[in-house]
Amino acid sequence: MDTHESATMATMAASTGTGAKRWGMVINLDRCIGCWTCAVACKSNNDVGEGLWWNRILTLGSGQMDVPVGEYPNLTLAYQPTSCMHCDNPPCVKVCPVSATFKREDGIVMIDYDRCIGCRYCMVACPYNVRQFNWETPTQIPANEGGGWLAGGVADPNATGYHVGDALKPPRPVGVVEKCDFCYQRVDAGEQPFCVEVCPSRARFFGDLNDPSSEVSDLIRSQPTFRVLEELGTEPSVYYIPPRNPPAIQDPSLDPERRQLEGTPAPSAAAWAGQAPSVDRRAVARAGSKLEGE
Amino acid sequence: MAVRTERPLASATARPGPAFLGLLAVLFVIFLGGMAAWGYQLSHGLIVTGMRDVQIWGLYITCFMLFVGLSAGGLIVASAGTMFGVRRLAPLAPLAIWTSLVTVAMAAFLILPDMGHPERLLNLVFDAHLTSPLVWDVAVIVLYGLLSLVYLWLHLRPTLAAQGNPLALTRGPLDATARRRNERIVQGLAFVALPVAIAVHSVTAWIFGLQPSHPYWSTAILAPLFITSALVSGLGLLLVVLLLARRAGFLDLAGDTVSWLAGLLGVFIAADLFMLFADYLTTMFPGNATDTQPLQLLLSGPYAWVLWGEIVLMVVAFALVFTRQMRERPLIVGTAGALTVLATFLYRLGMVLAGFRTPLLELAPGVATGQVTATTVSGIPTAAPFAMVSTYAPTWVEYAVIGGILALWLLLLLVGARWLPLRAYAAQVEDEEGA
Repeated sequence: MDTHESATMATMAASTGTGAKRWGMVINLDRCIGCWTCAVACKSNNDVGEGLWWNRILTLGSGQMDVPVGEYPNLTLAYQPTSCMHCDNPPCVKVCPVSATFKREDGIVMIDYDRCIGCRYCMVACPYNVRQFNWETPTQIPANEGGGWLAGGVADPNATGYHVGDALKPPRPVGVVEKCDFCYQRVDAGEQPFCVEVCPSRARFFGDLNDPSSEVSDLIRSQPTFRVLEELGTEPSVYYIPPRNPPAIQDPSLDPERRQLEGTPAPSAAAWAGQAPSVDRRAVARAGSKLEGE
Repeated sequence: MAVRTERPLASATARPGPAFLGLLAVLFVIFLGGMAAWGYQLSHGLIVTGMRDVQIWGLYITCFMLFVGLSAGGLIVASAGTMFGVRRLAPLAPLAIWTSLVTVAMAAFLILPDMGHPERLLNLVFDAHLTSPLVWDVAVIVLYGLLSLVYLWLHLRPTLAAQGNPLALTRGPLDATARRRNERIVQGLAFVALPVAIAVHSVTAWIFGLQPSHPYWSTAILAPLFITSALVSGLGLLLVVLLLARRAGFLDLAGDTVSWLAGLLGVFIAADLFMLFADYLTTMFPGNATDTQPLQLLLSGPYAWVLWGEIVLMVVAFALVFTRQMRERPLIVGTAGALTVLATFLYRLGMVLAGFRTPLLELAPGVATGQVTATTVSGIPTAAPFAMVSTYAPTWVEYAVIGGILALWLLLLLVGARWLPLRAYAAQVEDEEGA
């Protein structure tokens, strides 16, 4: 869907007076510094066990974490924070055999951890690999001798780990799938998701996509944006403002030698939009042309 | 080769020999060992398997797919016998259906150890979410199992009635009218069972094929491909079972019946290889990198042994049943059957390996594997916290659980062959044909 169209639709939804909210996020990749603050804060707010990450920061283009793209001195480095996209057409919800994963009226995709049978079909269906399985009993920050805390800050001499974060967050047992839930307890209480709150470079914005006057709607209207793997039709609720100087994607099949042999010019910033396997090519191309038009 | 009728059939009423009982005992012990391994997995979590967040499914689902396909054989024989009037297949139907029934039951069993919470199994019934292909599959597999059970019962009913067995649900032997009615129901049921069988294989394919997140699976030909691979491997397995049964003196199997089935196997192999070729050509020709990448893994990449192994085995099996002379030799036909089962296993394995190899978002550092990395050997973490490619290797737990289920499968096959009146009916059909 075109960003312009979605903004129009947002206006329409608001004007019909349904009043239904649809929570969404805009992440400005031009501002993201790849510090992982949001990822770590997410872990502590949601008591995410060791080895599991609801939110992770991907490095664009180079195939290696924190490694820039290009040849010195023409280097570019950009990141793509990635967590649940809270798709409007979520593939995971469709395939869950027991309705354990579902979409709330306000667009937040959630999991009922008491109902999940651990078949991991939702993880298979998710194109973003943002769902995490508890392969073992989740391990929290290891406790000292004398015990730790259970979920909700209850001290327990027998606990082997410190449970941290939001007391309202339901604990996840071994054998279930878990993922980002837009910090729904905070959102329901009128606050912002923790990752938005802690971002030191203020790259994250959260709000109601159905409200044309919200900050996120305004950003989507005024800035070029793309959504990840938009061509799959999942309708993610997370929008990205591409970096102004996007890194050229290093396609492993186009190593320099072969490129020379085939006489293909080195990928340019514009080619990034066409070759990135990980971002919606058409959306980035549109976003790029929008930039040029300004 | 001439029909082997000199060999006397083993008596159904004779007491089983110590070797047979010993084999059953060994199989039961292996089954218990597998269940113990599952118990170990239940207490530790699926961390004891080789699966992680990149390789979301592994050998359990591979074998599930294989066994669903293997169950096709019985129905081919049974329905071809009744629907298409291939009368010489009719005596084989009970053993064939028993094989199908046991095989599909094992397919269902194989899902359980893959689940994080098998004790919540009934959520699949009470919280069933109807858009999920997994729910469709559960429904259609249960239906298929029940149909096979009814089918088997109808086939055995005349014998059971003659023996005065209360399971026949009738008093005394069936008279001619009752037998004709029974036969008509069997024929009618074939018209229901065949579509259900097609649905079982299609829906199993759709668990995978409806996922655009995995380009390798996302092809409209996947359901037809699953049907042909089920036909090939199902018939291959059945030929092995039938020939072993004949060798054990369990049933009398005419040489031209084996030859006819072996010819059918050749046709199925050709159809299956054609589907595979059509799938690969359609993907490779346009050369879209996202779509060709998983195929490259199988064509020339790390999993080339899987695809080429499958193709070589299939071609060899095809060559083995190519000439009429070869089709009449039980050892050759049995080998061809076994090769198709092995080849189909490789096809299923390739689906799981190439399908999960790389996440769609190929960006560093990749997917959090879900494994705690605090475990260190000499101060070095034993696993990376993130991974961009799957490096799946099944663990002993997966092998043990699957070995246990395989042992149970063989055990049930043997127990049924020995104690169910699967061939009394065969003798009876032959008597009728003779008369």
